[in-house]
Amino acid sequence: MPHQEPLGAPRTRRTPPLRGARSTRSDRRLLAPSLGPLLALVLVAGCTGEDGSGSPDGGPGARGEDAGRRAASVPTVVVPGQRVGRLAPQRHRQVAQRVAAVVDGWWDAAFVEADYPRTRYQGSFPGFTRTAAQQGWQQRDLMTSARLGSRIDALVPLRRRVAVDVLSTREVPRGATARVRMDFRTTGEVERRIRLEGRLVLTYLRGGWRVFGFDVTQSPLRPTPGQQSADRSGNQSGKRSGGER
Amino acid sequence: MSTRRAGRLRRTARATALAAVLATTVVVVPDAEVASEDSALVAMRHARGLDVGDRVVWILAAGSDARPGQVMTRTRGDALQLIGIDPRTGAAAAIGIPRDSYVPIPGYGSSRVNAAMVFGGPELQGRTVGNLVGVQPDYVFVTRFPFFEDMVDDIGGITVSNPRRFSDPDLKPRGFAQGRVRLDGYGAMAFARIRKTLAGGDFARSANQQRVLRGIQARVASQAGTPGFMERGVMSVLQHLRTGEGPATLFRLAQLVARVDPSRITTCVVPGTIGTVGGASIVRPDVATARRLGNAARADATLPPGC
Repeated sequence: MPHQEPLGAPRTRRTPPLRGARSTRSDRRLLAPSLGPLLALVLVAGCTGEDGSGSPDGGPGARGEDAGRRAASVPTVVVPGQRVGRLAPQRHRQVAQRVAAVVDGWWDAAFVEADYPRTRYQGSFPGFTRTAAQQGWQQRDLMTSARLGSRIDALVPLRRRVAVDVLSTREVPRGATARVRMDFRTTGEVERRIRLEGRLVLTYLRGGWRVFGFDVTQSPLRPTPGQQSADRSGNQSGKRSGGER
Repeated sequence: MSTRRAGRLRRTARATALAAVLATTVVVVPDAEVASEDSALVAMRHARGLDVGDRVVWILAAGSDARPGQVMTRTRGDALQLIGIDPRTGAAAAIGIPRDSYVPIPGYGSSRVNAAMVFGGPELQGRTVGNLVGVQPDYVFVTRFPFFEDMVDDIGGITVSNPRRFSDPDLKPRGFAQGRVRLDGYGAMAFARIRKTLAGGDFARSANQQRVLRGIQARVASQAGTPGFMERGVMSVLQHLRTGEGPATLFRLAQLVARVDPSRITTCVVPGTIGTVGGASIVRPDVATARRLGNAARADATLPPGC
């Protein structure tokens, strides 16, 4: 199941707003002929590590370059979550989109929009208050890809989902909780499928939504039954070749 | 000779038994190298952060016994708890002030501490308690008992740890059992309010109020991840508390409460002696101890053990 939104919940998709030159560069890197051996490794990993059954961006036949391109631009599914207090549903959706844009900004800066291998993580917390950004920096092994960044060649998002609960009074949104989940896979020395999930809490400050708190985990992404069988019949050693240290 | 033989037999029996256990273990316990990967127990690491300042946040919680039609911010309170929370560590301290503590009230001479609310509202109540403890609160929250009941019901009830059974013929004839007790809104109100049947009187009641606060914090922390729970909790506070603070500030403070580490909560009640002034029963608070508690918790929201 690629998505698990509650039944009846309205759902919109948005493409991360910060996609630009870096994303394109990243795609070009994946395809660059000069990186032949690396490309082969990426493609092999794509075939053995992904069976497509759980990915919204391609069926079982989606593989290799096309799959890589689509995965890199996987849109964020935005779900207006709980609405507490007076707020029109349309306004709730607007708030959800804006909050999701802040989450996307963090994900892109800390995980997606970068050239790997990577060791620099300054500026990974746009949209965070200064103190929250400092706290995120101190825990960058979980709040960014820093734990693996120097040992991977690419980080490809598989799913991005943000559900936004909003507190409002008098039709004015006052606070929000973003329940976030991003699945991604890495290629290179460390080939992993990882789920990042948790909560960000935000208030509206100085003309924008700002993250003032977070509770986030990263954990190995449990493969679906279909993926398990594919893994067993495929190249298991490839998946285990670069275990997390 | 026979003794030596018996000893040899015992050693042989022990060795046989040990061998049997080891053999069984080898059969029953799977080889670690081929252990199934279908399940695993993994300690999840969390990255946690919260920007609510870099020092202890002090909140005076006041429970008013205002009757219908009375203004709760101008009515004497039954409950006074000065609560400190350290956002850097998750430590929290609650200093209980007996309601009948006879203290100086700025601009109004000396009276029972809860008279400050009548004279000058939450601001003067905060200043009066702050002068007694030596720590001025950043926020004063005032509620009345029916509102308090609604708030506890809104978060789904709480569980408290009750050290001894007690009851009250009016508020709780069947009483509260010793041990862990589940309370709805009314139960929490009664638990925090009963005084006459407690051996420790006002001091024991203040300690019970702290048990209720622990229960509220535990409930908030356990449900913080439930979608919309924190937002609904803040809305309940907005509807039932007089705080003078905006929703965004309350939303941040609610996150702070949810991040408190239960193992780092410490509580004390300001001690004192019973006396009379003008024929009325009062508590003469031990001001030196009150200041000592305030000084101890000022920087890190941690009270000394055994108070």
